[in-house]
Amino acid sequence: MDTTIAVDKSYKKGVVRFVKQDKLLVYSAAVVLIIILIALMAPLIMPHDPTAVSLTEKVNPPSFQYPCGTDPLGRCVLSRIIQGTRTSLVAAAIIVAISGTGGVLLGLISGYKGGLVDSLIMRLVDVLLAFPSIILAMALVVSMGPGLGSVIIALTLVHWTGYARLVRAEVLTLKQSEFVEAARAMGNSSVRILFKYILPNVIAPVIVMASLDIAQIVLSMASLSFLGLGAQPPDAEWGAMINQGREFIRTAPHVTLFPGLALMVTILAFSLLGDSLRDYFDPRLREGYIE
Amino acid sequence: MWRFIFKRLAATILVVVAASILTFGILHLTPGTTPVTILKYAFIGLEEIPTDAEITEITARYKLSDPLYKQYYRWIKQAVQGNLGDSYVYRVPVAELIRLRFPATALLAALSVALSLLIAIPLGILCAVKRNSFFDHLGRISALFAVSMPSFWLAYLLIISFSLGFDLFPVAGFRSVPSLVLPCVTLAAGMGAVTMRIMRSSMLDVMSQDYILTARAKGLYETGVVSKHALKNAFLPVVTVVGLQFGHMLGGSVIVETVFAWPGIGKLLIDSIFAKDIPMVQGCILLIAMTYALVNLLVDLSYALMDPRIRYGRES
Repeated sequence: MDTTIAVDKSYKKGVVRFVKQDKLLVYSAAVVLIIILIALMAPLIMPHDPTAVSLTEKVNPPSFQYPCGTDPLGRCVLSRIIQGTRTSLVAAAIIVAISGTGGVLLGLISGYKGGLVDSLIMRLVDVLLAFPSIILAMALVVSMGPGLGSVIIALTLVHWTGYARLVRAEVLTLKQSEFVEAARAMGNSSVRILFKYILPNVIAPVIVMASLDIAQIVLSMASLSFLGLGAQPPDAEWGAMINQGREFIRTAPHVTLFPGLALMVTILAFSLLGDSLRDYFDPRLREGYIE
Repeated sequence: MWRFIFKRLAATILVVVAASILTFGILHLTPGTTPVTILKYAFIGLEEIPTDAEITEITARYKLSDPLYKQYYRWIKQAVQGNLGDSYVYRVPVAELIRLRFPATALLAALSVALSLLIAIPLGILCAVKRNSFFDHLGRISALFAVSMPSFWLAYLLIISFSLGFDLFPVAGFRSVPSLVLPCVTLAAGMGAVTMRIMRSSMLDVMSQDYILTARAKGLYETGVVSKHALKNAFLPVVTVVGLQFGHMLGGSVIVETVFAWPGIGKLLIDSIFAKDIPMVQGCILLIAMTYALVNLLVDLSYALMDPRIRYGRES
């Protein structure tokens, strides 16, 4: 009876210590969670219909009825920001899921097989990295025609390279390790070794990269939409909203300011989460860590 | 050393050639290069329906019926000689327009890099030396915000406060020295923040090395330890990151030039994208990829020069 209480206490203590020690991780994870909840519950928490045009209420300043004001077409800016959270997060999730999985698989194969396959994959990575990523995405979007779908495809095609490189490097070192050698000696197949022994060891850095990548993708997507290549009207997307507010910057800065704020908070939260996850998984990487 | 330079140069050329194939491929496997699109966007107007004679004329003029590899070969052969073809929309050589627009972008890029380094390097060193002080926290928090701020949004914040609020700098265009300030600050902010973080952590890393302990132990004053022993080695990672950042800046300049109506390559690229001026888009992207590759080459070479421990090309 006593032991259960003791365990319970030390567990609680552990949680408290965890929260105290990894403040940044806990806070950024909380903000990310709130952002995800906003995206999930978007239709429930929006005060107005994000596409309802009102010609009598164009570019109204923030008020009790419209907490973030209205845009040049009289639509509620707050509702559009909430809808935009969903747009950005869903698109970013699709891109990270596909490019992450693809990149990890190619990295595993490249690192484990070596030889010609490795050279081919890595040369492709080199060529894709010869462009600033947003420029390459731009070229791809141009070829497919502007739109959110094109942006998703373009960013997926651009973003897998990071995962492939990361995983390949990890595999190259893991391949030499004793437990992989032992697994091979026991007669496991290559596929089994890759997925059962090597993959679990590369998951942590991949998760860190994915979190940082989401921040980057949300930014790239907003940038492309801002330039008019991404989400098309009447879709609510932060970058596109900022673009629509451009001409009204003198008289109605709120149309530009609020979506940008949402964008910044999202990017900040995901980058901080990535940074603190990296510290959590590997304390040696803490900035200025002294042994 | 020479062997290393030669190897890197060859690799760079290969990457640029591959990049040109990729650019050409992406842009030519699309509806953007059909005779009808070219006619509608650049010659007769979007509402018009092109006649058969017009289609035949355009196809013949741009040799669009040739197989793709022949078209690519023709394009790259001319490109090597400095001829990037004629713009569909402006009807002048692409290379000439790029030459006209390039100085504005180069000026913006150079000034932004200089500004970001001027702020980021001393700040990074100070933050590292005064680690965990109020100044350090302030510096790191500002860097965090600067990194997370989308450049186009920062641009509007600056316009709202400094152009519309105080009327200090022009909103857009490139007419005078003051009009340089806001675009430069916008571009420098994100880059400077990254550089500062790297400078700080690299400095902290170096400061924990044994030879710094030795320098302190022999009684060297702290300024001497920092400036004579730590700085030189702390600069290495910074050089790499500045090189990588340069690529981001080339991408970022497209956005900043759009916001500030800056007459550079980035604005030209975006305008050409919307005008479906494929030769122009192709030329701009090729130029950007080449500049990026060249900067990466220079970074690698300077890395080898700066760090004698790295014996490139002789390792095996």
